[in-house]
Amino acid sequence: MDAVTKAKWDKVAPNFDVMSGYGPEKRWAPYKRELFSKMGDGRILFLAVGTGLDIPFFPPRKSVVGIDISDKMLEVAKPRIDAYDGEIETHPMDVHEMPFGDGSFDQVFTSCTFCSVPTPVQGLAQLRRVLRPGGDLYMFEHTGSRYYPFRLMMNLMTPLTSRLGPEMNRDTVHNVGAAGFELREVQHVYLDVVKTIHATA
Amino acid sequence: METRPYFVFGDLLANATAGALVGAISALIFGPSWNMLVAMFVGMAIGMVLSLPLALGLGALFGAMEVMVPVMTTGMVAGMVVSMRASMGDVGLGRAAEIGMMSGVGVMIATYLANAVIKRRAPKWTQ
Repeated sequence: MDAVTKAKWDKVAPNFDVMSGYGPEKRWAPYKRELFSKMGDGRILFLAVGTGLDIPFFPPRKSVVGIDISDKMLEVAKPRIDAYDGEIETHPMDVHEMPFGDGSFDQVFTSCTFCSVPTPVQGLAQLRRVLRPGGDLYMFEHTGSRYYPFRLMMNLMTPLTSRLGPEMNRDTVHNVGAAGFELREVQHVYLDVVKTIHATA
Repeated sequence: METRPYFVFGDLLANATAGALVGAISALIFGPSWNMLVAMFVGMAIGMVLSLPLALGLGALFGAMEVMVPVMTTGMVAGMVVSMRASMGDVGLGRAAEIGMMSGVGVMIATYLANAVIKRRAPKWTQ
C-alpha cells in the first residue's frame, strides 16, 4: 500500500467534511445523482468511498463494494454507510493492489478520485482489469483546463494543493484512454474542469 | 450557467471580497517607485497567493472548483490591475479596493460566460 498517500488522507479525514461536505456536495448534487442513477443490478465497485459524501446520491437497493486507501476516511464514512438503503461492503485498499479477480465487476464508479491517485494510468488500468469486458466506468472528476488563464493558474496551484490533497491539472480524460478504456461520453459540469466521463473496458 | 440564487450570491460575494482584499493589499505594497512591468507580474503572483485561503474558506460554503477557479483568477487580475495603477501614481486604499472589487465582478461575469460557451460548444462530447 502507498504509505505516503494513505498518511495524507488519514490526516485530513477528521476535517474533510468541513471543507467538502456542504458547498461542493450541494453544488454537485444534481450531477452526481444523475451519474449514480446509472448504477445497475450487477456487481458495482466504488472508488474511493472517502467519508461517504457520495452515498446519499446512490439509488436505493444497490449492492456496492467500496474501497478507500484510508481506513480513517472509512471510519468517518460509517454512519453514511449504515444509513444507506442497500448494501455497501467497504475495504481499506489501494487501487493498485486490488485482490479482486479479473472481470469481477460489471460497473465501476469514481468520484473526485483520479486527481489524487499518484499513478493514475496504472490505477485506471487496474480498474479495467477488474471490470468485465464491455463493463462500464463512470467517473465524476475535476481535471485541468485547456483554456487560458485557467490552465496557467491550475498549473501554478498544483504544487501547493497536491501537498494538502488533490492535483488540479490532471488530464483524466486522456488517462482513461491511455489505460485502455474506450471513451463513450464526456459531459462538462463546470467549464472544462468538472466533468463526468463514461468509458467501457 | 449557474442559476441557483444561493450559489450566484456566493460567487458574487467570493469574487467581490477577493478582489477588494487583493486590491487594498496591492495598494499598500506597490507605488510610483515600482517599474510597471515588474509591478504587474509581482502583483499577479501576490494576488493569486492572497486569494487562495479565501477560495478555500468560501469554497467550503459555495463549491470547490466553482469558487477556487474564478476567485484565484480574480486575485490574479485584481493584483495586476491595482499594482499597475499604483505604479503610475498613488492610489488610495478605498479606490484600490473598489477597483479590485470591480475586477472580481468582471471575472465572475467572464467566467459565467466562458462556462456557458464551453458547455454550449461541447455539451456532450462523444468519441
